[in-house]
Amino acid sequence: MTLTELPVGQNARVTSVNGNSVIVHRLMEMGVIPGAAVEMVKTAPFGDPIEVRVRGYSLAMRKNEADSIEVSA
Amino acid sequence: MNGAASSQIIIALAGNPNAGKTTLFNSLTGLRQKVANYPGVTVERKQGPWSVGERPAQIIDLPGLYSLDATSLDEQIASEVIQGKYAAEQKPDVVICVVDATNLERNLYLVTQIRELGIPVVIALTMIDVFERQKHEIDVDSLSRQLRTPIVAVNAKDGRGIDELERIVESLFDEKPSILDLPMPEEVSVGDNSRIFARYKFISNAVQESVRHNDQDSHRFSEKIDRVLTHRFFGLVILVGILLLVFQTIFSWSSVPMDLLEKGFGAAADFARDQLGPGMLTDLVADGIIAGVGGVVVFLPQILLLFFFISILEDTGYMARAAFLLDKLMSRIGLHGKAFLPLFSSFACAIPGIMATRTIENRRDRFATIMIAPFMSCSARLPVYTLMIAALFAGQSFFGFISVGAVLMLAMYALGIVVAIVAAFILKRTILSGPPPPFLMELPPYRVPNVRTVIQNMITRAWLFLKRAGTVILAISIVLWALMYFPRAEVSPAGTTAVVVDAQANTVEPLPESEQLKNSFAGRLGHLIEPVISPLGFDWKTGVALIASFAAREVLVSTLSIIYNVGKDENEESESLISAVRDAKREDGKPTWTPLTGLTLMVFFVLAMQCMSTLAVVRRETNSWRWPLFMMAYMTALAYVAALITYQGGRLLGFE
Amino acid sequence: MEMQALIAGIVITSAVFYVSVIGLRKFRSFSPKAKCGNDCGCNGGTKKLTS
Repeated sequence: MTLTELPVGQNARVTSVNGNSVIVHRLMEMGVIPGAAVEMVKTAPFGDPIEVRVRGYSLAMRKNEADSIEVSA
Repeated sequence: MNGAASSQIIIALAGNPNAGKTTLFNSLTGLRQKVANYPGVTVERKQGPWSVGERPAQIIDLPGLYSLDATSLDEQIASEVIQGKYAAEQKPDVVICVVDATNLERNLYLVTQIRELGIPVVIALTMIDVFERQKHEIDVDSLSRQLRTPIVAVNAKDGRGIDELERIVESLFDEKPSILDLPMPEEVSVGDNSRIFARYKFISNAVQESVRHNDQDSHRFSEKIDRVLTHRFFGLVILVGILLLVFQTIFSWSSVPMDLLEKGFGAAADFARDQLGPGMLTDLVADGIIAGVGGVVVFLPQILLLFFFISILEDTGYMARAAFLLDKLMSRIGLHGKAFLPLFSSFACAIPGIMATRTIENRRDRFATIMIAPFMSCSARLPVYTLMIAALFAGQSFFGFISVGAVLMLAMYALGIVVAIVAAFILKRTILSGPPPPFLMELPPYRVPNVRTVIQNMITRAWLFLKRAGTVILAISIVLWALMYFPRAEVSPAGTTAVVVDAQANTVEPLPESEQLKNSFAGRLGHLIEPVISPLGFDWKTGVALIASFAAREVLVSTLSIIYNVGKDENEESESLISAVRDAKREDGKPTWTPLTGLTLMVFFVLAMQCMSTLAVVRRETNSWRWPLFMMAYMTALAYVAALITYQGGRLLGFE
Repeated sequence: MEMQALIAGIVITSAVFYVSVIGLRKFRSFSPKAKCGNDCGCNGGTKKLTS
């Protein structure tokens, strides 16, 4: 499933980050690479963006970006 | 680059946003500047002197960056400076890389990148006190060995590690820099991103060897606060509540010092009159200088409080949360959540706000943000709002405890925001259309604001405000006074009855001051534009003030202060500006200022482009004349139309 | 009285001069090469934000 579908409060591991755009490159540089543990912390008031914890810090991203991240529990 | 500069030792201070770079910079160089808990607040190059051993050096505080592969203009500058590719900058001899101990892995990513280029690096490890308080343990020597990079734990507050940092930097001058060569993994086909894998693998191994985390999560404190502050529903309610509270406090706390200042300037004017005796200079000092400068300076308490709250909101890390809460709305109008910071700084002043747009990656988004930034009510508008509210809406409240003033103030700020949203919506769908930008933003942990930073920021702002009052506003006040004082008519122009010739004494009595003012250069100009502004409910005196306010917004207050003083006839007592506004009469004897005309004036000020400095910055940041001219035209047209609708609409509803 | 007018004249003249200098500087600051003006924390000499 994608990171967007991960329920709030759940932990998972990144399996792949798809696409080759600038944003994917940046996501990976921020530590979101296959094998990294992520936790879905919460979603913002209108359901977007989302906050995830990765490598011990909080990262906010839009669902648009989270859709390109595949995770497995 | 010039020859003299190249002989100097240059040390670059690099690191992720929020790593504590600016605090370290301040403690190394003694120069004070703003430290905030928001990604990308360090937008400009900062330089300061430092001595390494005996040798004088210059430290450059670079904008925060996550990676050398920049995605924003801001990061690009930092990246180019580090790599020695930035044309206007000498290649740094040593890079001090600031690393936040509580966020090691991601912070070290940048370090590995720089080390791969063979640039001499020393790591300054910050936030180690926080890290240890969370019961984690770190073996700095081991980490240093693993990373093959010297590490110094520093604490900017008590100066720990600063001497050692200096020693290591010095030792790096003479050493041949080593290049960090990372083994490339073959496991997965990751294409271009294999380097990222290699770096993180290297970092993870090093961190695993040297750091022992306690299993309890340390970030829970921030998360607990966030559960309330970024709650799906209450988060937005709290955001509005915080802003309302800020404005209410600005009003209630500032009323006493403001009263004192007003009384002080009143006494100063009386004193000047007594000492100097009647004459032209006395009038200039009392009606021009003291009224003009004093009229603006009395708003110092408000300015101080505004910056106090802005500092606190930024330093705690709340601003990033506000961006998080509002991103969906921002994306609806086609803007980036990151546009929130520049827009919010524009509440202080549009100039730093516009410069802060450099953190926005996409050019179209950046320009759209620049074009709407001046709609945010800057601190120069504050005196105008406060004057109108204090004079016309004082003492009124809703439900007995929410003051009408605070609500009106919030409404003015809100009006600016709403118009900005609509403008951005239209701009992003017409001349600046493009796909929705990606959004990726760190939410830094909440931190207790540094008292010294907050106070320092307030002092800086107060000083800038007073300096401006003492130079530009002073000079403009004198010129305005002269324009209102001259020409002096001894006899009235034919046709008026104002002059009384006392035949017996055979002297010509001078015209009453109110007639003199009408006849002055400024008075004639005011009458000239009266047809344009009378549909807005303004009289010619307000017209004079409006024209003058295009030099700087707060000059409106000075001008009104001067014009009501100059136009005062002998028998009238001098009074504070607020009561002068209340008592001002039109030619037909009706009051000049009613709640409706006051509101109309405020609406005009929310929207009008009356700041030459902002236009100059827009010209430079967009590198074209088109954008500032367009900005000037559309904002001022909008202001006129909105003020017209307010006034005429208000009259239709039966207000005066 | 004469003295007062004289001093006032000097003060006004210097204020007019100062305002025109500022105006000129402001006009120049529109150039992309120029340093920034003296407003809102933008320091004239260094083009750096002091806030």
